[in-house]
Amino acid sequence: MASESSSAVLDLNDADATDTEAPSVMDLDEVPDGAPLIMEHGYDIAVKVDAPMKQLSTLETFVTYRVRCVCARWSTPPHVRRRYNHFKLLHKRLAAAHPLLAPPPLPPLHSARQQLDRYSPSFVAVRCLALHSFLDRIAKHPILTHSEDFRLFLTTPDEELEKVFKSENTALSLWGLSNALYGSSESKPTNGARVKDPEFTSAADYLQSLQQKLTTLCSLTTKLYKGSVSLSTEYMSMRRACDAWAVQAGGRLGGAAGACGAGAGAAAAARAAAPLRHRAALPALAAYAHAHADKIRARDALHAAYVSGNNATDEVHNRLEQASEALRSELSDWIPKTHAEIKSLLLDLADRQVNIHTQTLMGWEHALKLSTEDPSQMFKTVSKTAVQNLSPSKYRTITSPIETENDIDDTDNYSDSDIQDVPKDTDGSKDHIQSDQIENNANNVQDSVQNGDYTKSDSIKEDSSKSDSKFSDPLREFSEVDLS
Amino acid sequence: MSAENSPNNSLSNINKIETVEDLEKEDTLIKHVDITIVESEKRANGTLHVRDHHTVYLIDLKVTDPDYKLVQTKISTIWRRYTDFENIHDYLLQAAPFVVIPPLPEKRVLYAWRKSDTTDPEFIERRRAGLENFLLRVASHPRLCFDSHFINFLQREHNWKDWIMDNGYLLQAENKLKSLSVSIRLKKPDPEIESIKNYGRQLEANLGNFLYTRSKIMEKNYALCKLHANYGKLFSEWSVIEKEMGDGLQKAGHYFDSIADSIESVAEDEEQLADQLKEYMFYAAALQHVCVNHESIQRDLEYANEVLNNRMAERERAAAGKSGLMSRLFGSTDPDIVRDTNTRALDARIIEDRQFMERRAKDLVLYSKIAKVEIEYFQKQKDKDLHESLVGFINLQIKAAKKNLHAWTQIKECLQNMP
Repeated sequence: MASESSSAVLDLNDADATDTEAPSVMDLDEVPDGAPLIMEHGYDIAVKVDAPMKQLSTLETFVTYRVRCVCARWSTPPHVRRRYNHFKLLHKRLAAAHPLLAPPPLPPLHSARQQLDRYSPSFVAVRCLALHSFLDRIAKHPILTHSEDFRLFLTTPDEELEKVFKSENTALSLWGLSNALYGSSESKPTNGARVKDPEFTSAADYLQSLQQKLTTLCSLTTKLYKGSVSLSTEYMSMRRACDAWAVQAGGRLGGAAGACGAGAGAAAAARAAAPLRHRAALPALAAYAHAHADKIRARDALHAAYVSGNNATDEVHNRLEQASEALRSELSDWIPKTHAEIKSLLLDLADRQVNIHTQTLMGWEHALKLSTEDPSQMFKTVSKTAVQNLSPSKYRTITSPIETENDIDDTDNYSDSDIQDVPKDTDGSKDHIQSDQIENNANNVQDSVQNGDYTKSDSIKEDSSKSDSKFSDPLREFSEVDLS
Repeated sequence: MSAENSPNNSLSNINKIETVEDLEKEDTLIKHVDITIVESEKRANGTLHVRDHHTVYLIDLKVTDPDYKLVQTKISTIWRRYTDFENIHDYLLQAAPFVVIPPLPEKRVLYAWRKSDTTDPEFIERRRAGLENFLLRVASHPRLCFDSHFINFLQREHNWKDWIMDNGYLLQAENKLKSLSVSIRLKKPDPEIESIKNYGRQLEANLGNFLYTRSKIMEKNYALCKLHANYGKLFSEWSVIEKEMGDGLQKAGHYFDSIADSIESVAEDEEQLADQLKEYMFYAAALQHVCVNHESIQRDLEYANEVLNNRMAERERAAAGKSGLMSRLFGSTDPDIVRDTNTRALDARIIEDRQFMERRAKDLVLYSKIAKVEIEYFQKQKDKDLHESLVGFINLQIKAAKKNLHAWTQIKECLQNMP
């Protein structure tokens, strides 16, 4: 699996809660260690999944993810590489080993359509996040964290994984065990009244609605971010229109137009990239809730079988008690954790929106200042305010480092086709009545504003290379607009 | 051309006004009367079709200066429809070709970001404001405001349409429009006029681009804000099933709803600003009009010049006895006396032509002078107005951003206070 050296490299922005890592991964050996894993308060283990990489083997190409672990209970190698199938195996084995508990859900397999962009950066990034949350939940689970399969998964070096993990006998025996616990009762649907246990019914209902809510939340948030990104494109168009206008008109009017462009540019930059964490986390939580709901149903079936009387034996009663107890403790552990995670996801969303609007507001306020200043004073004042308002440090504290999506497809579509032709007549505009000096000042303002925007977009960690090239050369940007 | 049909006294004062400052000091109608368009009404067309309606607007004229004699009555109101406004506008275009005529609000809905047509109540309200603005602008322009036709437009109830058609201006206007659409090639185009024409074209294009991108942004922003209503619904439903998180979710839900609602007023305000920019887009077209008029006068002059030159050449040939086909084939055939008559006739024609050309040249010079003053007047006004509009636009964006920021900060706080 990891024997072949990787040639294709997936370049992604990756960040964890404490610090940002270098995004590009060059070679297997050169992978930086990244941020040190810190165990959270109350836990003796921390895991992390990151740095996805495409690997080519003789038979197939696949993506592997780097799994790191720091644990007090056992010694671990610095990192191992796992692919999706390994995670799938782990999941299966955990499910079999603990039939009364629902393990955290895996991110879904590809649908047939997604097979086409299996390696698209956004898809891989989302899956990486989902796998991380998968392992994280296992690690923090009071029971699952001690499972042998889990330990094997984390500690076996890559080469030996095949032998250790895929041992057939264990799988078979586990399968037989789980079947024994639940199999017989499930094959016979109960005739007669369904047993309603109030304790678990309300929990089941809650889980069902929670699942719905989470799914809706995920789709809404994805739409929100997509909308923001497309709005960003439109703001860029406005910026270009304003800049073209500012060139043509001179003096105060040109200054105002340029200022408007600057404001629009800030608004665009604020919205440029869409974070991904919710796309991984929310469906996972929804599926997790669903899994628990299934377990409750299973328990109810058991209960019904017990009540219906056919094999009302002590053994069944014991199993029922076991199942109920397991569910109770599981839910009491799961619900607070899930709430905490939901809260953190919602706070992420709110944070990002607050950032967007703060930056937009600052951009427009700056534009207002630019546009209402006296032209002769403009140059002097701009240099002072440019330093103050556009200092990189100010922006770094605002933007929270979260996973962002390089929606390169979207940002590439800055289509110039929408904008009409501005007739090429630079000589004509120079003959205009306004004094040359004022015109020069206006141009200087635009230059410094654009350079200011450059620092802005630089320190904002949206890695949109296209916007960088846009801000670098003001003159070239103007000539871009005069397309036929 | 400009002197020929000036029915009023202000146009004959053109020689007195030398500079922009003179223009600004002149008396205008607006200093003596108040003009407003108070309301609008639907009227049925002549046909029996139920759907055929047009909208009329009530112009209210109040004389604020007690001694003012020009206006007929103290207070008067009159209903006019958009087509009537178009008539008076076209008349002004033709009567004062050297003035940048204030434009009418749009005839069709331009740069719409949601489905609307000219029967929307919102559109009608915006048009009412636009027409009022048109009247105010005309009334504040010293050369246009005392035009008798304009004053009749404001006051004369009966037969206004017939009167204005009687002047034949309609025909002339149509001819004008046809000639304007043909691009005029001059031998020696005036560089200043050329540059102003180009400026007008560029301004029109730039404003158009700005308006287009603004409407796209508005469209997407609107959809995005309405999305927040879904969030509000989701959160309030969710708060029902949650125990500890319930409160926080519900409060946050309210703020989401407020975001969804806040976009309406922003959209309205921005639409007004867009109308101001549209006005200047049309104004830029009017500026180009003035330049094209100048060019057509100049073309007339060049044409007259050409005629004169041809005539002179003809006269030379006649004097040399070389006119006519026969002479070219067989040499000079005419007896002397015929030659003399021809030459003398041509001389007379030459004098006529020369006079004609000199008149044209004087026209051009006069037109140039007036037009340049007018253009400068317009430019000053335009710079001020557009700057104001842009600053207004920026302020509106700031307001919207502040609203959003406030709402989301509150949401964040609600979420943080959740257990």
